[in-house]
Amino acid sequence: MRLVGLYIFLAVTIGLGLLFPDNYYVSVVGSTAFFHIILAVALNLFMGYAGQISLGHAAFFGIGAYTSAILTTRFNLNPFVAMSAGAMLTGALSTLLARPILKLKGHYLAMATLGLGIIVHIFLVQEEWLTGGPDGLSGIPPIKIASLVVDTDIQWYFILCAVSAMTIWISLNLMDSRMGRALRAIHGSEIAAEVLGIDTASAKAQVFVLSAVLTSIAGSLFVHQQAFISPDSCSFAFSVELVTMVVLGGLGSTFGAVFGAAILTFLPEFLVHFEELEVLLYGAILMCIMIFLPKGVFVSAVDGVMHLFQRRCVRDVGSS
Amino acid sequence: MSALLEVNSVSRRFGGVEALKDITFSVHGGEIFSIIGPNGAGKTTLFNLLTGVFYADEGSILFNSHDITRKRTFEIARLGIQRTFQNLQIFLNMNCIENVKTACHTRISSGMISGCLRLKKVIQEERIVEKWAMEALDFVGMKDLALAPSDTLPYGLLKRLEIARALAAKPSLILLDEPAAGLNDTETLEMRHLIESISRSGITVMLVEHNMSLVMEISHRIMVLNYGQCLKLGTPTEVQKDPEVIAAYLGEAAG
Amino acid sequence: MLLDQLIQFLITGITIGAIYALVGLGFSLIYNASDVVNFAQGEFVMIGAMSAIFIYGAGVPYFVAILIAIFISMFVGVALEKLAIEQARNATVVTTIIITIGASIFLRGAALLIWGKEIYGFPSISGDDPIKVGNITILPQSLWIMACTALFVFLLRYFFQKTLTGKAILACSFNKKAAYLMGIEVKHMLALAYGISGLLGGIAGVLITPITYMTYGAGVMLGLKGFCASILGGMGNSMGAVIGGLILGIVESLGAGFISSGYKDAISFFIILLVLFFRPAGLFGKTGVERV
Ligand SMILES: Nc1ncnc2c1ncn2[C@@H]1O[C@H](COP(=O)(O)OP(=O)(O)OP(=O)(O)O)[C@@H](O)[C@H]1O
Ligand SMILES: [Mg+2]
Repeated sequence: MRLVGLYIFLAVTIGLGLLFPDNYYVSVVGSTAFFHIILAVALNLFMGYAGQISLGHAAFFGIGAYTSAILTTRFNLNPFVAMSAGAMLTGALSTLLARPILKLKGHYLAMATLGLGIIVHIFLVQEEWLTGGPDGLSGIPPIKIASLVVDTDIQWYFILCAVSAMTIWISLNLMDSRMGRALRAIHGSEIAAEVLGIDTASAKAQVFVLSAVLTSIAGSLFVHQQAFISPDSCSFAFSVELVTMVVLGGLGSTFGAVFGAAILTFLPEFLVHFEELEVLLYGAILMCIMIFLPKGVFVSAVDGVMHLFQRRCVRDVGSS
Repeated sequence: MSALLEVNSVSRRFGGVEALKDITFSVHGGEIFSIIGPNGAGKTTLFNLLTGVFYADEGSILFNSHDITRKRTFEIARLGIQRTFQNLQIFLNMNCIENVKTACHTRISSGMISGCLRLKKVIQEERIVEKWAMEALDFVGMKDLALAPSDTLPYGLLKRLEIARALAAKPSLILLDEPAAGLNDTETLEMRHLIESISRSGITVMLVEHNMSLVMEISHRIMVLNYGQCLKLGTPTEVQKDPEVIAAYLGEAAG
Repeated sequence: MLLDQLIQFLITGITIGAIYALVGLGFSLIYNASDVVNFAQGEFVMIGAMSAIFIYGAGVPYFVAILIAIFISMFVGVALEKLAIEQARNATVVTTIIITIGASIFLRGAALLIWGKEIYGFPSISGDDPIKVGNITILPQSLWIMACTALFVFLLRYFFQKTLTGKAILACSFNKKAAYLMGIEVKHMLALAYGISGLLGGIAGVLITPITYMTYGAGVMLGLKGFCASILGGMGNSMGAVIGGLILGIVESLGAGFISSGYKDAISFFIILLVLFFRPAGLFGKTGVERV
């Protein structure tokens, strides 16, 4: 029962992958959607569960991506070793920053994370000797699983599908566990959480690191899939996009994040037909959803269905 | 009998306001100790100091012979003090039983990674936490509402839920900040029974309350605060007879 | 020699700092009035500048073009309040942040549609011949920027301290309900606050464009710097925002001159991080305790 959503997710995505392996929207756009799903679910741990805000998650994506890119191209390291190195670097950095940053709340937290993201972005642009500067790095090798080189779109589709499913599984597990409740308690009332014996500073720091490391791993996978990375992929705009995905679906809901990520991946594909209008429409949609459905599209829809269902039950009980 | 809680010459000011001034008292294990006084007397501030939400400017606080004067809130909670809030601090993003389960935090130990991977330990913990939470809900008579979303509950039930949550943490001292405020007569009576059964179960109760008949009937001892100072400390009968207390508070409350 | 250089950097710093101050002032005005951090603040600047450029380009006299442009940004500010903020009452911090980010993307999209991606310039108020004092050169526009900023800071102070309307806006920021009960039209006051904020942005845009040029996307960084300025000064503290803006401009200019121009923006954000870590209420803000 707890994992029903995950099974449905797997059935749909695997089904699509098997039925339409050559369809552009499935294998190519679908793969991008999986990246966004991993990132949004990871960010939702921090924002939705713990009720914090980050406008700088693209930095962790960038650190993972660039560590992998540099270590595999310059030092010929195995992609998985490089990925672990990126994850560890992100883990170390986020651990170092977690305490001072997470003392902040609301707008101040938004500002601090935003600043962090911008500083990392500028570093990536400026340190050309290391990062290739604004042009980025290319020629990044694909990953190899056993002796299978992963380089077709549909192979990536299934690998990313598996990683997404794993991320969702982790998120769902955490929800119903001691620390998951602690995080949601912090969201509900930090003071009450503390009074119940929860070390809120530590809990927030832990979920920040967890979220950052998952984001970094997604970054590492991304460079191997794209064989290329530039600072544009880890800009402030990308951080905003990630936040938008989480909020669009509905803060605090894992499948809300999945939904938001999927929508924001496919939406631009269709908005491209409006070319010039794309940016404008994107902004308008974002505003409208936040104004009229602040709980998020997915969560509001689920609430609505539940409501109908409950009313039906009540009526049944009443008439019998 | 040694005291469970000892408060020695505690003071706290906010800017120019002396919210508490040189307060000394002790609470014995098993008693119902009430604090009364007009609005702004410093009652909530006292609870805030006892739970580490604010720190005392001067003085010391001992609980179970641990010095908790400068301890952080969550550390104090782990020593066995729980509280409710005057303005309710329910986790509105969770349903009732989840609220209560959260309170079992210090009684189990799995970390974030085990939670993510749902190790065997977590599954076992979840089973026992479920049981504990149901017991606490049952204690306050809300077993049937376990799965109700907390943001749909009426005020009276939220107050009970908050108490259930505090109880689920297995405290030895519970601080109740105006548990009967905003309740109607029936609900107040139920609240009284609840407080009495909490006391009977062996938990020491500190109560802040404006409902005088409730306070007078169930308290063993009462401390009267006025402008941050202790006006009187004694049994309900002693307090009721004290002319100063009548002048400062009771007269007004009765009238 | 070094001294000359230092003074030169200071002048550049104060010039850009004055612009940050105007943007930061708009920021803290809106924050005060409605508890919203307006991520579209930079777009007010961009729209003011772009409008001025195009209205002037259409043959309208220089100062008339500027005036119309400033009114356009003011109008955008009011529209933002009426169409977005007012519709989303009781929104949480995260929600309002996203709404204003949405608004900023929307306005940028609109600018892209209307004006395209080109980089535009705009003539200075009184020519571009630098004024030389010893080894130091000052652009006349720099002086205009400093003077106008000083003027508007004083006007605004006067407005809030001496006029009834100004006091009414402040009252709303202290306690909306009480203000409402006193018969203040809270809604109008909010719209007015957004309008003034837009106006300040527009002025900043018109003033800075002759020095830095303008594109449809240039508002983002300017807006963020304004945000930095107001945090540095203590969120919601207007004079703090002005001083914060100046400090930011100066540090940035010195950093760009003596350390690395590429890291110019990073330096500001680094300072903000340090301030947030060690003085979370800003340089001039009071620290408060949360009540339970
Ligand atoms: N966080 C705070 N900041 C500033 N002043 C405070 C703070 N908390 C309490 N005070 C002040 O301390 C005094 C005591 O307040 P407190 O809340 O303890 O009163 P109380 O006895 O609980 O009153 P009530 O019966 O209304 O709940 C009041 O003057 C109040 O304004
Ligand atoms: Mg109180």
